[in-house]
Amino acid sequence: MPLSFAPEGHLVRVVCIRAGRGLSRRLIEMGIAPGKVLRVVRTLGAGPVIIEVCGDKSKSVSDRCNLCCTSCGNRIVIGFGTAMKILVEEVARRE
Amino acid sequence: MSELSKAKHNRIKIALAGTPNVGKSVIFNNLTGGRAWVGNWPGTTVEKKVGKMRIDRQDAEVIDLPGIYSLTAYSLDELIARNAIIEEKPDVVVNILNASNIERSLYLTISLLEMGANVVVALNMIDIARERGYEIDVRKLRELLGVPVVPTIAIKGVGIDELKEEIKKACRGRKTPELIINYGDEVEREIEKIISVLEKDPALIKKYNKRWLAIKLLEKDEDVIERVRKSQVASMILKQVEKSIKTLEEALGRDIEEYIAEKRYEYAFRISNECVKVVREVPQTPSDIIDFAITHKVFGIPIILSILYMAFKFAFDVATPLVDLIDWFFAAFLYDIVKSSTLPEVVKSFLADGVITGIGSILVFLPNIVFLFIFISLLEDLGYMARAAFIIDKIMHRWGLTGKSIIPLIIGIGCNVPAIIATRAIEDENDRNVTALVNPLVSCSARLPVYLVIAAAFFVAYRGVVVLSMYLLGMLLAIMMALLLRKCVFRGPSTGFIMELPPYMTPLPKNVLIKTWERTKRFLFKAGTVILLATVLVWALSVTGPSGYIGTEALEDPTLLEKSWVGVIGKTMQPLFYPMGWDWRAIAALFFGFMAKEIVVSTMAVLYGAAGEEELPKMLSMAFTPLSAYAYMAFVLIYVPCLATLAALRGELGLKYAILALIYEILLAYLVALAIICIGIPLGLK
Ligand SMILES: Nc1nc2c(ncn2[C@@H]2O[C@H](COP(=O)(O)OP(=O)(O)OP(=O)(O)O)[C@@H](O)[C@H]2O)c(=O)[nH]1
Ligand SMILES: [Mg+2]
Repeated sequence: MPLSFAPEGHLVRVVCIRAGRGLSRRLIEMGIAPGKVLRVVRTLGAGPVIIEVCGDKSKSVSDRCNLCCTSCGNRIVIGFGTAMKILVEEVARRE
Repeated sequence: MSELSKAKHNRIKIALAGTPNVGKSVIFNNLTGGRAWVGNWPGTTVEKKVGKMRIDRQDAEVIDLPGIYSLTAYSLDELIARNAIIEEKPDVVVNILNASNIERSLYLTISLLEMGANVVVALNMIDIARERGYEIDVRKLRELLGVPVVPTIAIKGVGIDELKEEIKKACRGRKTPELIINYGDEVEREIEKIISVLEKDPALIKKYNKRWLAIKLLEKDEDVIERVRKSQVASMILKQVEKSIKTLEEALGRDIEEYIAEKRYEYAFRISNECVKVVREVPQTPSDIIDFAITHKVFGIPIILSILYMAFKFAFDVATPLVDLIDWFFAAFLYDIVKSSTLPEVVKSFLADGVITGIGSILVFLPNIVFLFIFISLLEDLGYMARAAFIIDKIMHRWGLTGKSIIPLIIGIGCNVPAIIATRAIEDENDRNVTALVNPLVSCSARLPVYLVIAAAFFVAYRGVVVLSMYLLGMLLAIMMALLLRKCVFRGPSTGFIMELPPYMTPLPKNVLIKTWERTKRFLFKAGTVILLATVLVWALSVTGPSGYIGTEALEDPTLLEKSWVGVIGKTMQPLFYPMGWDWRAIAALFFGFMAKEIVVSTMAVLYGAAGEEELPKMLSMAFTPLSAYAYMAFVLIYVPCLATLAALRGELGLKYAILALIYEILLAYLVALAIICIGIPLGLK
């Protein structure tokens, strides 16, 4: 499903990025690559999302995140156009 | 290479590089004593800014740059930064990291080190990292990167002296060891092959680090390819690169460019994992709770609007006594001194009816304008901008724009000129052009005096609502116009946007004051130059006419004034505005207002012979009806960008689009004013 439709508060894993060269590259440079786990902090439902990057493919959640990422705090706003190009799958529900 | 550039400019060059919003500009100000614009959102700096710093009794050049995530540019402002680093080859690159977000900051550090830049790392925002419960092992970081690392809290000046020391040491020529990331056997083999071809052009590898060139070529970096194209062995190099890319993409089964970026990020992740420890668990912060309300699907926009409205209303009430005081100073005190002096009649009229009345009518609103500036500075520093981009995106993408466009639109409330330049941070070219083109529709501070004068004449009871309605009308028209332009002129899908969300921060009083002062200074400068000149011009054209000198009585006698040049201008244009029913003097004011919109008020003040914020509304209430006055306000909001704005549009987009903006605005202004009259009359409004 596109990241834009991911439910709020859930953890999702990036499956693939269907974007042009420049954009895919920029996403990777910001840590959003296939295999990474993201926490959906806020969505507006089929609109932009706010996410936190939680970890990499080896672990579902990074070592650095305690409280399942609430303390990570490094959030990224992803606009609708871009969020539709990031395909994700659900990992686990929070709590 | 560093010797070479030193010989050329005879001056040491130090560039500040880092991800957006890490505090580069604060550090720049600390190092140089300069006043680079500081704001709590990514994309504050969109231009190069140069300052000076003393190093060993020598002036060194310090360059503040826009934020970048890597050496591959993705938007205009990033291109400026990238070019400054790659082309100008600064002697030292001060790389500023965000201590609360090391892994994302390190990607750039790694890219810089790969390039062979002489890097000094400033680990900024350690206060925020601590707040979040992180502890950073600085010594370890230094070891892993092989360059000096200085922890800093830029806003408090912590660590700045140490940073200066390290910069000085680096200037004395300590070369950083280049960092080598192993990209895996297959890739390394191809890198070797490319290097061996590159070595056939000694000039090229003298200028750039060869391993870096090879990697960049594999990454299909267009700019680097262009550079290599100039080499005499270009075809050989490019053929090898093409072959290597093909081999690798077949072996890896994926895009090589993304593979390399991922490897680099992995490396950053590893370093950050080794250096950062979580020492304390931090539950939900107040920032999260505020965010919950501000970014709410339904209430987000109403909440911010009502906060702004209350703040506005409060500020205007507070401003009233100050306004009265300034009013008294110009309209009574200065005016009377001149009028009762023994100067010749012409000089007295020139000073009192021209300069004092005209300039005074603008300066009375200085307190309101200053409050407006304080608000914008507060919004910038709190961290609201990125949130606004988030909530508005849902609406904007339907209109063919992205949420990021809202940031220049908000800055435009202060002044459209810096706002148009700020559009450089928007990635998508079409989005950027459209955002710049519609920016003049946002009601800037110059239009505030017009609203205040008219509101005082007709809408005393609803002053706040009427003024706010103009701001909303401006925003609405900007968004609608953007849709139209996106559908007709700048077609194609938008790529959307990505933006880091900065934490909320308590605005620093000092920074807010500096920014307010800088904006106020610009306003005062305008009052002393363009507005003053225009006022003098209006006065001169009022006391003379086709028949020659009329005399200063014209300013007291409307029938006489009609015979002046101003009368000719106003009367000639009047038929155009027949449906609106505006007085010819108001129309003449529009004519002069194209230079700067405040001039609409100062011209009316001269022509109606009324100084100050009490007299002028009284005169206006006779010349307009509430409905025609409201239409007039809307017309002033929309019609023609001021000269400075036109110049900015021309600089950013070219002459063609500046003219387009001029034409669409005149048409739109006329249509909207007409619509207000046409809708208002049947509704029984007058
Ligand atoms: N808490 C804290 N805040 C800081 C520190 N350094 C900078 N800031 C704040 O961070 C925000 C961004 O600072 P800037 O200097 O504008 O950042 P920049 O890197 O120039 O940003 P761009 O020009 O957008 O790339 C401002 O609100 C600063 O007050 C720090 O050490 N600690
Ligand atoms: Mg800056």
